[in-house]
Amino acid sequence: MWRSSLIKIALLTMVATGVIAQERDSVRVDSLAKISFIPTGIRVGTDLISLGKTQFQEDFKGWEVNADVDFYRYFLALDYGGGSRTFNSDSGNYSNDGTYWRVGIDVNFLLKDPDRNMFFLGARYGRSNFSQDLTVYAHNQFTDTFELLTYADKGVNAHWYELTGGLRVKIWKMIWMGYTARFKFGLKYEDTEKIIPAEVPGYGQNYKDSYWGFNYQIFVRIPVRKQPPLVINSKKK
Amino acid sequence: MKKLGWFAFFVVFFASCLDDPDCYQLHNDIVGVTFRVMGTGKGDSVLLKNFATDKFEYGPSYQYILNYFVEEGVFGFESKTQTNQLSFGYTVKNQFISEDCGSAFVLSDLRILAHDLDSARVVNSTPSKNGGTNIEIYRCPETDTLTIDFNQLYATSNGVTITNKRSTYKSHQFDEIDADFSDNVFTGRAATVKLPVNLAERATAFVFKTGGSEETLTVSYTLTTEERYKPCGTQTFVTDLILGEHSFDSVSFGVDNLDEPVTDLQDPQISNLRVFDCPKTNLVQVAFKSNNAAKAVTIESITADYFTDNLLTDGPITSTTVALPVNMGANASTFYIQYNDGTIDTLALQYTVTGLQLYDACPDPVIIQLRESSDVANINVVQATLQYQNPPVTNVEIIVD
Repeated sequence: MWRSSLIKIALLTMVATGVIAQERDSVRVDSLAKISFIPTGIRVGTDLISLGKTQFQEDFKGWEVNADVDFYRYFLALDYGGGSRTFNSDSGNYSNDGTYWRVGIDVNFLLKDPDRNMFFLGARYGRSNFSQDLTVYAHNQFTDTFELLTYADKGVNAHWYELTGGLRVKIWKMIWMGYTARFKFGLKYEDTEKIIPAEVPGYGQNYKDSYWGFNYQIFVRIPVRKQPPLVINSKKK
Repeated sequence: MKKLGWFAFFVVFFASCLDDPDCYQLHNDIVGVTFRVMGTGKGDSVLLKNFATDKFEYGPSYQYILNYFVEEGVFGFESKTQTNQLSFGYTVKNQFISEDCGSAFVLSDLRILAHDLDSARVVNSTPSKNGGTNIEIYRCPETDTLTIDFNQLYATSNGVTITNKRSTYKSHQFDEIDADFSDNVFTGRAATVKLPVNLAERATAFVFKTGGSEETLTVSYTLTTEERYKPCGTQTFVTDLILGEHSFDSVSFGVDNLDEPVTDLQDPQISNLRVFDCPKTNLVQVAFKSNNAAKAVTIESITADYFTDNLLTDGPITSTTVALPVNMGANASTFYIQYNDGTIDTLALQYTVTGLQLYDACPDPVIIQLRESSDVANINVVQATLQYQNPPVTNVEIIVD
């Protein structure tokens, strides 16, 4: 937990420092340039962290596809993913399996960048459908016996909200990379019979009111029309 | 501003990472039951049997641990006179918390299924991890209980001014308290007594018997018969209490939080009447000393020039102090203190009886300028003005080496 948190913070710091430096060196946009809301391309990608964790972490399986399309500085963002998780403890086991999707808007704050790199803030609405199983081995102090309890829920629905922030950086031709930090809150799930979800696919753990998520993504950007050229005034020397 | 934004972002992010689940007290399986009285809604201290210790214990509220392997339970409330039950239901769910903590039983939707109490309701349907009130149990109010507390008045005086007026609760031994409609409504030692009034009449007279002495007190009141609380049916309520004749030094109404006289009989009871004993202004406090330290002596008898009977009516006493009543009808008194070894100390005192009263209701005068009539080697007057305080202030020291 600590190690992964430190890695996240280090990555965030490195990339954010680059963005701020880039913004300081950027050029000015011609004030006569026309604003166009016609999309110029679709970016489709995947979350590398989920794929990595699936490879190296036995109790986690997950994947996530991310896509966005631009409308001037606004991006319609769609995420779709799936995952399963298993937790084991001395007193029982929990596992879930399901899919999720998110939809929302990102707003780009790097309008002056000639490569269309973006630093964005946004919001998402997410929904998940999953099944879950729980086995509990617990002491009954009233009868002084140990009891084994097993529960299962199918087709549990949950929804939540997210505030997002992150970067998209053009690496080479159509290849982009970026990250998305997600502040997740307002989780609601339909009334389950016996199990309170320990984790909701796409949201994360449910032992507190809010949760942080992080994606490190690689994208392919498919242009659908030529980007309108930025009219740039050269810097005064 | 931009730096501040990044700083805030990192603080929230970092804090969220630190927030690991707490494995202590995972299950919210504690239900609190609080007892109250209908009408005022005030807490009610009840005497119930603690089945864990098999003893009766007083308390305004009790905590119970629920069995999270079932979804129903019964509380049994056993007092010394009756047993009541309250059956209830709840929902149990389970949440896996973490690999370190395991899973937690999460209880909710607490509800009352049945009971044989006057009234009960759920005020918080979620049991807690560390106490609180989930269920309130109301009982019908007792409408006929008159509460009287007993107090001792104190004050300080230099013979001219009176300061430090105050009172403290003082317990009395009551051999018997009789009401005019029922004998022996109270026996025992208490600073506060709760006495029944006659709901068939508009007045009740009480006789307080202690030793050979009797004090009397009469109260009158208004009776109202009506159904105020449905579970209680029709009840007779006592209001507009009027203090009648009495033989105590002083009696006044108790006051509530608003400093208003408590002229209605309430439940839970607060003092309706306060009885005050006047300070005995003629008591000279004598301390026995040896080598500058208190010394306990055994006294066979105490007599005086103005009374011949032994002051110690209950026989010899062993004590480091004794209080001697001087004659308020004169300016001098002489006491004869006979010890168990046969020796006698003669304590001849002179004093000034002023015309000053400590309280309007207390006619005894203040006594000052206490002094020895003739100097005796082993007797010293250390406080010439009698002080009416608790603990007593020593006036005279007798050296008993």
